[in-house]
Amino acid sequence: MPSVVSAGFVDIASGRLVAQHPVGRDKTLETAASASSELLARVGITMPDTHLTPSAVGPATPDPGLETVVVSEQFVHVFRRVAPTSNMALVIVCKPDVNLGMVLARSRVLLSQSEV
Amino acid sequence: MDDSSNDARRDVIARTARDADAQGVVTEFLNFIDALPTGSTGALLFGTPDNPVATVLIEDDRICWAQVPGRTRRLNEFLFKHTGAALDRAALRTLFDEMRASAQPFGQTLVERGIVNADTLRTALLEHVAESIHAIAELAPPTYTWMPHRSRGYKPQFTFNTGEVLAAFGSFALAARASPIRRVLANLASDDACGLGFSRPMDVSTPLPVAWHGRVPYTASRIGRLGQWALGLVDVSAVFDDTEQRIVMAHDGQKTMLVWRQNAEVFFVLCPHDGVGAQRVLSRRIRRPSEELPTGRFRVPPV
Repeated sequence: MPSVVSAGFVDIASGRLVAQHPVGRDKTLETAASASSELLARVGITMPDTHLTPSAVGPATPDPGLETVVVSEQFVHVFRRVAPTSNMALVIVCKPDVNLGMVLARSRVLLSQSEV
Repeated sequence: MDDSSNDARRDVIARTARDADAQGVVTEFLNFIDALPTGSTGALLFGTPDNPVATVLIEDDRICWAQVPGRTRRLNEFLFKHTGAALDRAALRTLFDEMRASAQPFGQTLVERGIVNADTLRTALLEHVAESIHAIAELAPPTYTWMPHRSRGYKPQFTFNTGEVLAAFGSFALAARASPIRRVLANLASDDACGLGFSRPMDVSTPLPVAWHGRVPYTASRIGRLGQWALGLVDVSAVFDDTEQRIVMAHDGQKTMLVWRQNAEVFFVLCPHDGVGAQRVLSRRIRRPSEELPTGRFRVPPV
């Protein structure tokens, strides 16, 4: 997709990249991978506590830390667990002008069809 | 909880707050209320149980009233503030004395007689509770005793969960910071979203909620965890961009939460799953990131 700089799969527990595109050393992607554990795990700890009334948001049984997006001046980082309980995540680094909705939609579709 | 008076006596719990600062004291006794058995009704007595210097009344886990010496008529003042010249002060004082003598809830009577509307009363009651617990915190270190009882009489719509009271306390104690934070939340969050603005006073590790948008459906202990989580998230995300332009969006499959930091404040907005609310915050925050907020170090001031 236009504006996507790099992407990879990361082992959340260790922060280690297990596959990436483009292939080769990418410091931005490595930094993102190392932070994925904190960004996804922290959400998992807190989400069950943050339920609204059922009429507002549906049943209070959220999936732990499914997706986190960090929007900053230089990049947009997308972190998404391969599956709700998986220890593997897709990390995507994009330029700030990216169509975020498109990236999120395509990554969700891709992961729903993947066998990672 | 057992309703018989003999058994209720066994439920009396006495505590002395361990924290010395006002925020710590308030957080501690609100957490104590959160930890009471579901449906608890009774009074939290500050000082000695036989001669309390302040009282917080609880009904079905919700705070109904806080009573501190010398502040008996403060509710009237808050009502005047919100209604302007529309109220007859002399008539209000007379009615207040009547209700006090007959142990009837004053505020509810005002609404029932059409003297003030329910929203105004609720706002004034919350301000009164916030000011009173701020005064209680200054009794440091306050000793408090939980005294369960059976009497009820407050309408739930005029009572507050501990999270609302904690946020109102923060808003009262740090009023100058709360106003611009409230404006930021109102500008960014949609009507169906829940927003909280946290400040972190000097020498205090836990952020204090000082402004909110929409309903506050959390207890004080949950808000405390939420504030620490939000603070942690913005700290971790600093590895990507250490300016205040960054915003973190977390999605759990049902709802979306947005977190960002501006000066000493951390903002949290929870949006229902439709994505529209989150997109609104994201685009408005990126387009208008430089809302004026107070700068510098600060403390929760004494009474």
